[in-house]
Amino acid sequence: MAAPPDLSIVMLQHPEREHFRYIVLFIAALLFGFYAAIQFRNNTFQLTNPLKWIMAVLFVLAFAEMIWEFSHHYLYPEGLKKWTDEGKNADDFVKSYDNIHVIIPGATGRLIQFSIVMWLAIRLYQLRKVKIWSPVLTCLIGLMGIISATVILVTEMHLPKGFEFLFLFFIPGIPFILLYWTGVALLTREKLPHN
Amino acid sequence: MAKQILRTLLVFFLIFFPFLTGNLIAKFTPYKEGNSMTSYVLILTLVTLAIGLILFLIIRRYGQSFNTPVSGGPPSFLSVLSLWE
Repeated sequence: MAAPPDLSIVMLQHPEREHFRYIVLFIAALLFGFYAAIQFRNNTFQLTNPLKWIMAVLFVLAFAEMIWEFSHHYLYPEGLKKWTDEGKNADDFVKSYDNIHVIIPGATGRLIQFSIVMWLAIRLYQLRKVKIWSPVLTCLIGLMGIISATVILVTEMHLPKGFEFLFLFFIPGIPFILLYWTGVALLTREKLPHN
Repeated sequence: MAKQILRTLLVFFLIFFPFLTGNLIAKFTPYKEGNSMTSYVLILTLVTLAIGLILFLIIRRYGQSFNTPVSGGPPSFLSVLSLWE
């Protein structure tokens, strides 16, 4: 949408904008789920038990958190409308809607997502399916994402002054850009003689 | 050597591709006065379909020259879509 969501009462004039934003993220989450399912079915990561099952469970948790988070935010305009219809102040809605019970699973989900995306890039490098730039780039951004999610979890989204930039690494699209770069690394790796 | 340089340039281009395309699409954002939501959805759909089609044709034509089974790359690659949300 090339702009952050407008969480004010103005959103109710165009709820379709936020709906579309989260429909796109849903599609990305489905692609992620599809990708993970193919890899585990084909055992592309060449894992043995119990690591294979541990990673599969982490992928499922990451996927489940995405679906839950995107559903929650997809329904934001409807929640805001109900809130204002009850005569409450629209400015107070965001704190009520994205409360600590949403922040905890959201940040935990982000920790899992960044961890598995980093693991994925490292594993693919070990298997010589991507070049070194892929895990380096993924781990640099992924670590920032992990720091961001941890600080958000600890401070309950009240980032200390000067650390607001960490919000940038908390937006839902960041794990997807890391996956995109992994896709670029996979598709641009030259064929090795033994493959 | 020339192949190696070309491949490196392609990687650089693809790394920045979402941001370059995002800047172009941003002109049509419905948050800007006068732009419609329908046009934005249409443009985003066309861009995504075009990328998907190009990817499909490349894999169909050059599938054998990939180092890795191509099943993993495209879904991961297409997650670029989410960056324009």
